[in-house]
Amino acid sequence: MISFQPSPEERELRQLAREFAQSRLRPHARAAERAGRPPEALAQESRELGLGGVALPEGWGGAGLSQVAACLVEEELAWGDPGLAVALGLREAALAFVADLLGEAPAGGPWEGPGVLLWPQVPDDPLAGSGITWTTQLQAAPQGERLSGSIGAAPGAQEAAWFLIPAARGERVVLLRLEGTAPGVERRPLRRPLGLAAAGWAEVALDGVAVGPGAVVWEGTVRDPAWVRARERARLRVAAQLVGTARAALEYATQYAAQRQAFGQPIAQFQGISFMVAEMAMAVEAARNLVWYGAWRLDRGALPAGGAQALLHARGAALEVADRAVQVLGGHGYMADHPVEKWLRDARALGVAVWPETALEVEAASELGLAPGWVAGGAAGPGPVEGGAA
Amino acid sequence: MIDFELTETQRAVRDFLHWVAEHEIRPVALQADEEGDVPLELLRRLKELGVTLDTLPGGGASGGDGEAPEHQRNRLAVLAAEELAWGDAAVAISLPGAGLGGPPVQLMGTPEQKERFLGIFRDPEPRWGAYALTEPEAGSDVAAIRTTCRKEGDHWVLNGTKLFITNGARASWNVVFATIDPALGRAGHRVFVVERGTPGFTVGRIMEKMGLRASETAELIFDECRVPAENLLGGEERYRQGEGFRTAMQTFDGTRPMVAAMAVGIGRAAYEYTRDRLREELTLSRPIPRYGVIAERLSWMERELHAARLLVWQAASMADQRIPNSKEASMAKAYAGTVATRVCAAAVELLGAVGLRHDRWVEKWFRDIKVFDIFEGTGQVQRLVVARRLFEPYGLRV
Amino acid sequence: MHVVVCIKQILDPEIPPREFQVDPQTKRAVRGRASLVISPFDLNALEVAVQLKERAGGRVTVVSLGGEETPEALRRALAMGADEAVWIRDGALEATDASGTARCLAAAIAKLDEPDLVLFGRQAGDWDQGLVGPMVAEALGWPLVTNVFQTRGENSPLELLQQAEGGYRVVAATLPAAATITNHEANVARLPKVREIMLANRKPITQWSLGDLGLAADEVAPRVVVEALAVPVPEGHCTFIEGETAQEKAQNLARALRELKVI
Repeated sequence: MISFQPSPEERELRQLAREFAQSRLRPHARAAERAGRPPEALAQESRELGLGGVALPEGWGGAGLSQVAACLVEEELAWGDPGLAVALGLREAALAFVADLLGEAPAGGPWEGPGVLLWPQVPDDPLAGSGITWTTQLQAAPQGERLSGSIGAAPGAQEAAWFLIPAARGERVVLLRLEGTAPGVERRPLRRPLGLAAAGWAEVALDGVAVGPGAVVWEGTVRDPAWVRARERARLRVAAQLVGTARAALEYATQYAAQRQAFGQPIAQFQGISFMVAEMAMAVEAARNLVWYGAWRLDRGALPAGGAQALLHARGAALEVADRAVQVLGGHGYMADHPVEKWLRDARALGVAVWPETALEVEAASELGLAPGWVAGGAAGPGPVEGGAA
Repeated sequence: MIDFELTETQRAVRDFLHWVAEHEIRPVALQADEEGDVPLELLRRLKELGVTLDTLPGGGASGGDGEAPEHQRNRLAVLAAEELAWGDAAVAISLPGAGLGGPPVQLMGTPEQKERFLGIFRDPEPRWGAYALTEPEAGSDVAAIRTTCRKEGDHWVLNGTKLFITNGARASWNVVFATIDPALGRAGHRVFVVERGTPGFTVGRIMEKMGLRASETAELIFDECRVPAENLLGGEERYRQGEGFRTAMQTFDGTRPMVAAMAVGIGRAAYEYTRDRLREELTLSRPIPRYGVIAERLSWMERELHAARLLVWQAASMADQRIPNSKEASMAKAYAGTVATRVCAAAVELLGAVGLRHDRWVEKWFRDIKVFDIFEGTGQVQRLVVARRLFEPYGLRV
Repeated sequence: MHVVVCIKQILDPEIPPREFQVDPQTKRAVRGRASLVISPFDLNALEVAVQLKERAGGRVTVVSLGGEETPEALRRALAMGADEAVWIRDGALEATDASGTARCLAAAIAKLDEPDLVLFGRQAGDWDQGLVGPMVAEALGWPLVTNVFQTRGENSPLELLQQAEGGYRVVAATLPAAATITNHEANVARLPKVREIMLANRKPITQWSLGDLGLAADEVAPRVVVEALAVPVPEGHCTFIEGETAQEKAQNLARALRELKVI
């Protein structure tokens, strides 16, 4: 019927998330950034409220709701503070990925404690669009397979008790679960990353880590609908977080421009400023609509769901909006007194390093029927999307 | 609830109009553009088929009385507009009907006037209405129109010039905005229906344009033009504070999403054509250096068009749901105008030099799209409307 | 233990002041763009009720009198831990005042299953009259304790902690009783869990009209007539107090304040 009005239930969830974001995330944002982690009491409360696992199946400890509802919530949490939103949701994001692969009933595991999904994709990926080249390699050995390689920077890697790591096994892809303390796993905490410091970043080095049969959580191909679905959901999650970050910056800049005086009037009276703010608002609205569209498609089982396009768009929009917000505040925007400089750094970090799929343009082009034919294994990835009018 | 599913009716309307666009309109589009005219047989045929782009009165929460809480008119209108413009935008705006002249008559006309002016469209022969506001010296600054009107007995006498009037020459009547005194600004505006053949009303030039060449864009001249008093829209009681100006603006409230939808349609035509040509011409069996650029550019085109389309749908659905949508309508027009222009430019670039050939379509779409960021409120005016809404809660009028 | 909480929706008090407008004709606040929220002290009352239930067992019923958007507030209350919700809805209640509201609420409470305690926010966030609670208690003939922030114990007599100057009083109330609730760090309204929001949507909301309560429209007609309602226009005057020395300035200031009848 085409409507952009959330249902009453979706509104209530969004309202809850907004209140939580306003009253719990905003006040702790800078401290958590300095500490490199969220306060334990806050992490506890977040778990109890269940805001991180809105779309996670109930069997996995979530609320089993739609991805649309989850995106509404993710936007609010990131609006509160992007770093805390990412930090508090790491475990559920990892569980959501494996839940899409394994189904409603949890298997594999154990899944208690903090965990994180690592995504060791090579930035310049010759297989993009029909496969993925990993920075980690699974090697057969007499005593069993071993995993080696490294991930330069991963959010959540510092505190994780377990990791989920994809790896290639010939033409297939496997999802492995490793203990954080397994022999061969080395973590070097990264202090002061550009943004999202509250998420506890680390460099992860894997040196011949033993991969026993119990460690293989899932095996399949990149064309498996389950794999496609898991990636789409992960993209939409980050895209929603980017929209929330952008909206925070937009609202702050709007208020500032309405109050700040220069040349005898509020700076919003100057079209150079008001037009910039108008364009920021349009960018946020457009980005959000693409996220909702993708989430709606995912909820109805349509694959690909448009997650690549939504994430590509949100990455650009959030960066632009946050950048413009700093610009509106001028010199003050550059200072840590105001949150916009933090949101700009967070927007860049979110776009680049959380769910760091590269060459999404190639994925999207494949979805539009323009796949790179020269890749070994031939034809395209997921296949064309329907023409624009749904 | 948040929903992007098309109903059966919506799908049927869209699919039918797409068929019309592909099979009736596209075959004549290039020639019509060259000749600067839409064949009358096509317009007759389209009227027979019931194809119309009649614009809808007002947007947002103001609907008729006694209507159901939610209807489909605006959503259907934007779906229709996108397909027809995908076919050919010049043909789309040349379709018989009241056009932009419809909303003022609907919003302000007395029942007698509505019947007298809108009833003519029941005639099987194509007829047009038109909307004459813009003047050589008054485009965005609507308050500054200089066409004057003065009451003389049972007539009003109009003097002035109107410019860039779509279908102005072929129209059976034009809705004309005049002022009783320029110094009064908006408060002085009066709205008339000037019928073809009214003494003192002549058509000046038909303008030659960059794009939408098949559509008629006229200059209208009023020289001691005597308009009967019954043609003052709404009658004299109607003109309290700024009623005329409000009507002018309200017309655009309803049409902004449709115009934005047309921009999306043109952009989509350019994108699909380019994508299909590239798919054919590039075998992609060996790595090509330009592939990454092609992938990046085409995927960018598709998602920006889709983002624009969703903004259009958002504005239209809010109008149907009687939720005030002025900000969203302006966002849709500004975004679609900007984005579709860039998409068409990118299409020409991706095809390379052959993109300049008339028979390769994209050069025509590049020419057609540019005006969509200009007419019915420039992109800058739209940004101003959005900004006003954003700063209103802070007590600021920007 | 059956605790009843009466809640009311008000215009969001957090909207920017310049957005708050009154209609001089209808003598009411204009809804405008403002959303409706549960009156703040009512949220504290809900928290107190839920804490009591968690300690003493039993159930919580939330009651509200209002228009179309009342279910949203009731669902929030259900998500916070209320078990059942009652929505009193009748066109005749559009224009009612505190006395009419109190009459309805008392009739509704009388229909419920053996309530032990009824709680109200100490005053509503819009009119700030604080009348409804006491009026309902009077209508029911129950003892009333005002400015309570917490309860203790599990049976009758129930201990009610009452805010007092320099500390608090413990009042033992024989049930059934009524209390008006004030805010305190012990009763900050909890955020409902996502799961509870979902479950709340499955709990039923009972709708009662005036007829169901056995009341006629004229019984809830307003007895207080609002003569005028306006937003005060702040005015500023600035007078410089002169004087050669600090002492002289102080004397002149004192004199000026005396003339203004401030002191």
